[in-house]
Amino acid sequence: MDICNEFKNIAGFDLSPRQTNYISGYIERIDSLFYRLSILYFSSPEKLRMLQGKIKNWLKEEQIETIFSLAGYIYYIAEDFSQAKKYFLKSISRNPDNLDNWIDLAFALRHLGEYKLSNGILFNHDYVIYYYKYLKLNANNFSKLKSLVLEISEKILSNNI
Amino acid sequence: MSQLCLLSGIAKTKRRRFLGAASVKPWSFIISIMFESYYPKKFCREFVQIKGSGQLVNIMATVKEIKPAMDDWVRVDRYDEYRRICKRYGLIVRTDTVFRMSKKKNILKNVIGGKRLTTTYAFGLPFNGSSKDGLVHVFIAKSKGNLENCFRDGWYPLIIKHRVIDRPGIDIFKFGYNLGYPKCCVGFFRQFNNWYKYSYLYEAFKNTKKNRYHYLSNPCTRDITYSYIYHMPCAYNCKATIELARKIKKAIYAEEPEFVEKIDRHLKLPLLIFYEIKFYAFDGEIKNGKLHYKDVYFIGQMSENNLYESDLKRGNCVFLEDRDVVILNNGKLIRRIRWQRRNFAPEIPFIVQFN
Ligand SMILES: [Zn+2]
Repeated sequence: MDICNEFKNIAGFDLSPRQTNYISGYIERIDSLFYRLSILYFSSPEKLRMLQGKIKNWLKEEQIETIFSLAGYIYYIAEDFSQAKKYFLKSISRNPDNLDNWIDLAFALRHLGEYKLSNGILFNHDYVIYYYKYLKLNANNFSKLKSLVLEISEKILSNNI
Repeated sequence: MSQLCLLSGIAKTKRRRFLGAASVKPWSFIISIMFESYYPKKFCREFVQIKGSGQLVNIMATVKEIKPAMDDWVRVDRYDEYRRICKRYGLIVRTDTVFRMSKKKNILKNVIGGKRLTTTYAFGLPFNGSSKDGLVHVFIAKSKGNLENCFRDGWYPLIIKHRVIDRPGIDIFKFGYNLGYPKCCVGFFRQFNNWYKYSYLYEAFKNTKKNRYHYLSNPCTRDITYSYIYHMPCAYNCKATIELARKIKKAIYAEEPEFVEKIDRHLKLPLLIFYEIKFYAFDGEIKNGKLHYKDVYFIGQMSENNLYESDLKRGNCVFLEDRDVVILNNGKLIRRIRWQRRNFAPEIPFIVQFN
């Protein structure tokens, strides 16, 4: 059985392919997976636990943005924010243009107490995305990403933009 | 809430005014002032001096540790003073972002996701010393653990770079627990906080047995000082809500008995509710399904929602016919407000009195 079918059998709704929310697209987040999983957590917590049990296998099978984001959401809802951060960073590596990935990461960081970094992303997401791509960063460069975000925040503050 | 209606602290345009001299009608109160700011004699008075009494009960309940934590909005230039007062009452404070309030009409056209904003239209800035105006969003609690939980789930939707930035749904749902709201009400919120589908206050009304509307679960005056609760109850006789309100009432009574009397009086005024941010309170009484009154107050949010006060002031009786609102003066028709279907923020008017 493929991942999509397995997911649907447990969650009761489709695992749609991740949709990119480009900054230049001037649209809201379309991807409702995080929200639907949040609702599921309260209505059927056992289903969330089943998904949590499955996600490790799915991550072995597919290393794509959709599965990384799904993993991030499952861990976020389970309040394992370190794991959530890890998978949101992987989603960003796969698709840095997707603003949703950055917002997800920022809120995981907020829960981890990385408040400056979280705010740095939320308030300067356009610069962060631009320089992340320009510097060709990836999921393994978290310390570089951190320095980048903090530097952007400081520059913006000092220029009072 | 409306994000669990958490915006009690944000300045909103409201109508508050003196009632005229007491009339001879049997239902009239022998009182003069309604919906004015309240100045406690002592307990928590300093808070009112710097930011009005909108969140006073909430602050008192947090000081008394009946509520684990709360969030509030304070003018940036008064923040240091606010922090000092908190310290005096044993409260610790954590700041989040700065809100620069805007008007709905400016937002709808120019902001991605602006249509989803329901009660607060604000541009966000980091609170880092560079902002000299606006309102800083703060969290306060007696314990560090409660404060941190509340803070982490407590981001409020803001406009950043022409786009609404909101927290994940799971944080919104958990936030209610951090604020000490009853589980049943948080669950109800999860189910019915959908501005595309439901009128929340009406859903709670439907969820209550007829004439079991308990004044301690009246949420309609929560933004204007005179309520014990700051959440939207699942029903207007929700046991957990009444229990919570009772505890708060008792604690306030020990400090400010006159305040309790005033709150109770406000909570028992009859109401005409259109939806979550448009409703009116009356000096009057309900008889055979009709509300007879001698004065009316708009107590909803934002003056642009106050569409009917002048018509209501010309009348002395209001009632519902199907979903139309009919206003009469001594039996003569003043206005029929025809019900209209709306795809966002649906209005289902109803009349209710909490006792
Ligand atoms: Zn309840």
